[in-house]
Amino acid sequence: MANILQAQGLSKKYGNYKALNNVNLSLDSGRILGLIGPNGAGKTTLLKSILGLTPYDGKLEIFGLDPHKQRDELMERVCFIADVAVLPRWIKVSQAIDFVEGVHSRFNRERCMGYLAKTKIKQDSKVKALSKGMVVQLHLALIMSIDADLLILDEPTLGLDILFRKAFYEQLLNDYFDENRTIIITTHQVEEVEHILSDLVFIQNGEIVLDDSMDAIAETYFEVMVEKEYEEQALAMKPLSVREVFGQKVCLFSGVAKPHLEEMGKVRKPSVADLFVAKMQGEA
Amino acid sequence: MNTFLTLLKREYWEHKTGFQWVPVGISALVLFTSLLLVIFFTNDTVKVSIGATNPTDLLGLWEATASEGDKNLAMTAWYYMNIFNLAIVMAFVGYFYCLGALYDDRKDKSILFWKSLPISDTQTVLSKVVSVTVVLPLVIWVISMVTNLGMMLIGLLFAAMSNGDIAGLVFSPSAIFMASSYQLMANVMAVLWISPFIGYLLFISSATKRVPFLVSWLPIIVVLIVESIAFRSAHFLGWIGNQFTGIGKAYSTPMAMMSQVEEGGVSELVEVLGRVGWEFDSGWGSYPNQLMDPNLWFGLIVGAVFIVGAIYIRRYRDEAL
Repeated sequence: MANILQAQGLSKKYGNYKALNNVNLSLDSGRILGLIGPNGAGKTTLLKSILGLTPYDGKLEIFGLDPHKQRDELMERVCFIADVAVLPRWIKVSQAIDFVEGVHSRFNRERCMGYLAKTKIKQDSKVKALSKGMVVQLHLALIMSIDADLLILDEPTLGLDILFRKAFYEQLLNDYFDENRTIIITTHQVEEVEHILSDLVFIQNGEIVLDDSMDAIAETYFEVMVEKEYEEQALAMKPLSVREVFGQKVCLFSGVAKPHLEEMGKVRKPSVADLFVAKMQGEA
Repeated sequence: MNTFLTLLKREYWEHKTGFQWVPVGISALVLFTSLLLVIFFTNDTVKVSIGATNPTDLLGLWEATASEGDKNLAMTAWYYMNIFNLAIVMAFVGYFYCLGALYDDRKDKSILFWKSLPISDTQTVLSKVVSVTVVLPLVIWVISMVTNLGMMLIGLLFAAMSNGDIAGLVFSPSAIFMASSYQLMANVMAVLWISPFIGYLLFISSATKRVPFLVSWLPIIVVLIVESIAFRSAHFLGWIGNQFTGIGKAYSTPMAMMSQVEEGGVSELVEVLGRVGWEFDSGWGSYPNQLMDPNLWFGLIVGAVFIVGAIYIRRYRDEAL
C-alpha cells in the first residue's frame, strides 16, 4: 500500500474565483476513490491538476512526480477519460487501436479485442458512425486495455443506459481492478458506484468537506427512522440532517454510538447520496 | 521512434483526403484531359488547323528537324511541368493543414484523448511539422512521378494514333527520371523557402481560440499597416515577397538548369544527373545561390522560433483546450 497521491495546500484561482481552496488529499494504491461534488465544486479542476493539464498553487505529487512539470513521465503510468466524449470523429476503430498500441508500451491488444468483442462495434467503422454509447464503449475498451497504475474516470458513463453502466462497473471491478491499481471516479450517479468505492471524498466550493474510507464512514454515520415518541430527543442530539418519509422523521447522525441510536428507532447505513445531500446542506 | 512513426501515421490517416486523394484527383484530371486531347487531335473526323497546318503535321515536321538532345530536353521540360499544378495543390493542402493541425483537436475536444496518452507535446507538434514538410512533399513527389509515367503512356498512344513517328521521342525513361529528380529538388527548396510561414501558421493554430483562418491574416495585415504608418516603409512586405519569390525560384530553377544543357543530348543529360543543380550558375535561379541566400536561413530560424512557441503554448496552456 504505497502512497501514490499527495496534495498539500492545493489551490487554483480563476481571477477572483477560487476553484480549489487549500485542498489536502492523500491516496494509497489499491484504492477506488469516489470524488463527489455538485457542479462547479472543483472536481474537474482537481482532476486537471492531477493530470498536469493546468497549473496550480501548493504542493501536488503523483507517484512522486510533479504533474505539471513532469507530465510526460506521469502519463506513462496514468490514464484518464475526461467528462466530455473526446475520441476524434474521423478515426476508424482499427486505427484507434493501432494508434494506442503504437504509443503506449503498456497497451494489451488482445484485451482490447476481448472487450470490443462483447460490443457491436465493428473494426472498420469510423467513430462518427458510432452511437454515443458505442463511442464510450470504445474509449473504455482502449483505456482499460492499458496497464495503468492510476486510472482517472471523470463521468465515464455519461450518456450510457443503465444496463451498460452496470456492466461497465462490473467489468471495471472484476477484469481491471487489482491491488496494484488505483482508480479515481467522479460521477453524478453516486448510487451506482458506492458499492465499489473504498474511499469517499466530497468536495464543495473548492474545499474538501469529507474525506474518509468507506469503512470508517460506515462506523461514523447512521441514519435512524425515529419513532414518534423519540422525535424531540433525536432532534436535540443535533442530527446532520432530518428528512421526512411517510410522516416519520429520518435523522442522519455523525459520530453517535450505534446502540444509543437503536433505542430511538431502526438504524441503517445511510446511502452515499443521502450523506452527500446532508453534507452539502450542512456546509451551504 | 515507434511513437513518432505512429504519430505520423495518425496525421496521414486524418488527412488522407488532402494529402493523397486531392492531388491524385488533380493529376487524374490532367491525365484525363490529355487523353481527351490526344483522341481529339488524332481523330480523322475532326480537322484542327493552326494557320494552314494540322498540329499533328507540325509534330511530324519537328520530329524530322529537331536534334536528339533538343527533343529530350523538350520531353524533360514537358514532364517536369506536371509539378506546377501539384505545387498549387500542395500549397492549399499545406495551408489548411497547418491552420487546423493544432486547433481542430482542441475544437472537438479530442485533445483530451491525445493528451491521455504518453505523448509529449514536442513530439505531437514535431509530427505535424514533419507531416507538412516531409510527408506531404514526398507524397506529392510520388504522385508527380506516376503522373509522368501516365503522361508518357498517353504520349505513346498519341504516337501510335498520329501520323508522325514519334514513339522513340516519347518513350524516354531518362527524361522522366530527370524530370522526377528536378521535381523532388524543387519541392525540397520550396519547403525551405516556405518554412517561416509553416511555423507561423502552426503557431497561430496552437494559439488561437477561434477561426484560425482569419486570425492567420490579422497579424500580417496589422504589421503591414503599422509599419507603413510608423516608418513609412514596407520592409515586412518586401521580406514576405522575397520568400514567395524564393518559392517561384525553387520551381523555375530546373527550367533554368535545362536551358543550360547544350546540344549534347541524352548523354549530357545522364552525365548532368550526377551533379544535378549544383554546378549550374544561372544567377538567381541556381540552388547553390538560393542555399547561400541569408534570407533563406533567416526564414528557417523564424520558422523554428514559431514552432518552439507552438510547442510551448500546447504544453502550458492553462485549460488545455
